[in-house]
Amino acid sequence: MEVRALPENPYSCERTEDELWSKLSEPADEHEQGCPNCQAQRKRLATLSLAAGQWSAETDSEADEELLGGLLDRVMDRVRTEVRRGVRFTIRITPHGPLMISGYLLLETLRDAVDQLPYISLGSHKILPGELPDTISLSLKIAIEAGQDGTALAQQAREALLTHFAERIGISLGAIDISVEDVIHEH
Amino acid sequence: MSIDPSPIAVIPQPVRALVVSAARGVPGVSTIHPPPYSTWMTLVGSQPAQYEFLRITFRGEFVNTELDIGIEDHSNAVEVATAVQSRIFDVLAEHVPSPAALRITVTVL
Amino acid sequence: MPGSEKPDEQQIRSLVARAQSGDARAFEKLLKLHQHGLLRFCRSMLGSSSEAEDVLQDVYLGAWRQLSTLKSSEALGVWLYRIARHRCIDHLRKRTPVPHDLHTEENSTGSVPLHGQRSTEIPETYAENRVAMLDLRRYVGELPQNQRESWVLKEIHHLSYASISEIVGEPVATVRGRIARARTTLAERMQPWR
Repeated sequence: MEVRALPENPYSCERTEDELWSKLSEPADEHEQGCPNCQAQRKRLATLSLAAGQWSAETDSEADEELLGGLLDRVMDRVRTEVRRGVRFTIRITPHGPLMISGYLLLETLRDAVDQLPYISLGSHKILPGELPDTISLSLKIAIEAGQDGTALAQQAREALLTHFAERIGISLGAIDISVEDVIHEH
Repeated sequence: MSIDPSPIAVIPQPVRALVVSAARGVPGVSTIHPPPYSTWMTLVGSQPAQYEFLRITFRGEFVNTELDIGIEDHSNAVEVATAVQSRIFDVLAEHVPSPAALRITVTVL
Repeated sequence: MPGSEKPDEQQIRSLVARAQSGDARAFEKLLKLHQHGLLRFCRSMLGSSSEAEDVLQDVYLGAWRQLSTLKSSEALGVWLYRIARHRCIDHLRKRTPVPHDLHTEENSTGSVPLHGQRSTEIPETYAENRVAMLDLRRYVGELPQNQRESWVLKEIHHLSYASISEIVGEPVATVRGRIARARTTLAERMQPWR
């Protein structure tokens, strides 16, 4: 075997440390078994590999689970407060003044309506001011399960939205734009 | 209760607190949300005073009042908001010199 | 979607679309998929558990506020790690240099021998492996930041060179070079264990 030194390779055979490292978990091949440099480097990298493996395999402690749970709860509280305080829609003006609903509640209503339907998975969705006074319009993308009738499911979604918004919010909906953007295949 | 006619004191703190408490009692109301500027207070385990939940601004001769509410799961947002708005008007009308100048915004968050 | 099962790609796409539409619950589910890795990454970057928690909180909030910049659901992990890396670097720039406390914490449990009390063989027992790992953590903490982040993402988080390149915003060749240099240094420093 030709032995040459590469500029970035401190060893006298042509195998780089990178190559040796990537194959460290495998048994030494023919070259490595006969090459004193490779043998030395494999030995040299073994300790690091073992320690890195242990670090990587280390499972999170119960304390970490608790910590992550608490941290996520705190963040989600902040997030929900921010969202609630976000966009507001004026849905009626009475003689005493305007009644408004947060975009958060309207979107939650939209999601609740669609999530209860079988064979449909909701994707992106938004609320827009309706063209008529006191109305809002909805735009949503859905994925449907393979083999289902997209038109029929979209119609079901439309009816569920009308019912939910009438019951939960108490307003009429303007345009409801539903597009089927994906088909869900069972794995 | 005597009313100071100057705009800044047109709705005294006890009346504002009374309004908030009345709104809390409207069926379907689950919570009264604190004013946005007080969000930081919850981080230090504190709460704004009851009267602060009703925000007040003045514009010309109009007195604008704002209240943010949460509603119970199976109630209707417009119905509850309308009832809260009426309740607020009823309470304030007894205490302000010109109820016609009241403009009440209720938001369901 | 069943509660504890890991969602498939289609479900993740749907969760991302929902989160980008303002669905806080979908966002929470997405964070749960990556929270353990992110915490470990922040700890590796900062060498401090308590600082890692503070930074992770910022990472979550930053992720929520920047959700519209997430272009494809496939890149979710890379995108989150990129935010975490930026926050860690910002934090490192701001803080006054302090010694890494990972070892201090471990030492306080009494489970780690003093530096220098080592076996002269390749570590074989559980306890020895653990001590070797803790030594490795300290050496990783002493690497230059750009080598440290790339090495940790490759060897501890098992990300591809391409993903790491996206996270750190450097070409793959640069990332490879940094990891190789880190490995050489670490292998040298772990030598006394042999």
